[in-house]
Amino acid sequence: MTHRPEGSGRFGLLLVLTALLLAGCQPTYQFHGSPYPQPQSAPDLNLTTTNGQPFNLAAYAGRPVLLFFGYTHCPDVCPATTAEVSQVLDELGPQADQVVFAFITVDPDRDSAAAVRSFLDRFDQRFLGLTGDSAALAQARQAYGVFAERDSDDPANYTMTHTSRLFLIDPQGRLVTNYTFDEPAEVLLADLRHLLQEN
Amino acid sequence: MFVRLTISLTVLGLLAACAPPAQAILVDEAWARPAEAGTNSAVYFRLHNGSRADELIGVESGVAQAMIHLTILEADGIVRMEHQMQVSLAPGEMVVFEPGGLHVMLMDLAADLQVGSTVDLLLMFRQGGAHAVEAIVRQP
Repeated sequence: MTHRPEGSGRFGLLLVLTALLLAGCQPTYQFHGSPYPQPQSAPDLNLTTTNGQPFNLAAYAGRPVLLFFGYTHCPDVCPATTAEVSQVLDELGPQADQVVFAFITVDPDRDSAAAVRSFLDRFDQRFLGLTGDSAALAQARQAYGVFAERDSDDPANYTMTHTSRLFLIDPQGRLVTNYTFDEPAEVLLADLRHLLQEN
Repeated sequence: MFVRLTISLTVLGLLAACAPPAQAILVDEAWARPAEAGTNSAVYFRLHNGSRADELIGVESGVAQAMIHLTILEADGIVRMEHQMQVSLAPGEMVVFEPGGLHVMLMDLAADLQVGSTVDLLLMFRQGGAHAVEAIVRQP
């Protein structure tokens, strides 16, 4: 039987305790934007992609997902947000392939699948466009607390008053935060880098 | 009496000659978002006002119906657009038309706005008259 010096066991225990204490002291990452105090599972979406495939959030488990509700006739905020996401993905480099951006139309009367695809392709061909019937889109908006309404009765020339928040879902499928339009791109970049590093 | 009037007119004439001429309005960094025919776009730029107060009171474009709009972000994250009848410019003021703020909205485009092409605008000022602007089509 080997006799170990009495101090080595205590030293090992001390090391383990110190490591545990340090791990416990790691600050919890604080997401930017409007983080949810207790992130819940992101509501699933019963929608269809622009290539006609059913969209299921669970299929993207393990990847950060960004959701935005907009419309292709939007002159300002929707293309600005989509362009900002595109720029952030450029900053991420090869890691950007892990990030999913889904654009959900709030204007199904004008936004055919082809129109949404064409709009998104101006920014990034990896972006997903989601459409559906009015009921499915209304359900999606309700699940995420999104408001959308036409600002005119003119059937052709109208804009939409709508929620412009960009929702971030973590790789575990939890809705962790959302960003209003005035948030700088740097905060989205920082949050995505955190999720990708953690992943 | 005649001498006094002559002196007064001479002084006024000299003062008028010494006063700097009203500086013209300058517009720079004009760009427009790419978009497809039948949809909408927006034009952004910087307005540098000259030495007198003025107002932007209208805008025209050959490629679409154009209006001055202001994007308003509400506290709950909802955005809406408000048509602006005019934009006031104080002497020497710079007003920026930018994403999420003031912009010229182009509605129901008659043609595609391709990256690298240009859009002609005519800005109408109450004092300064019409001012032609060429905006390059590009991503931000």
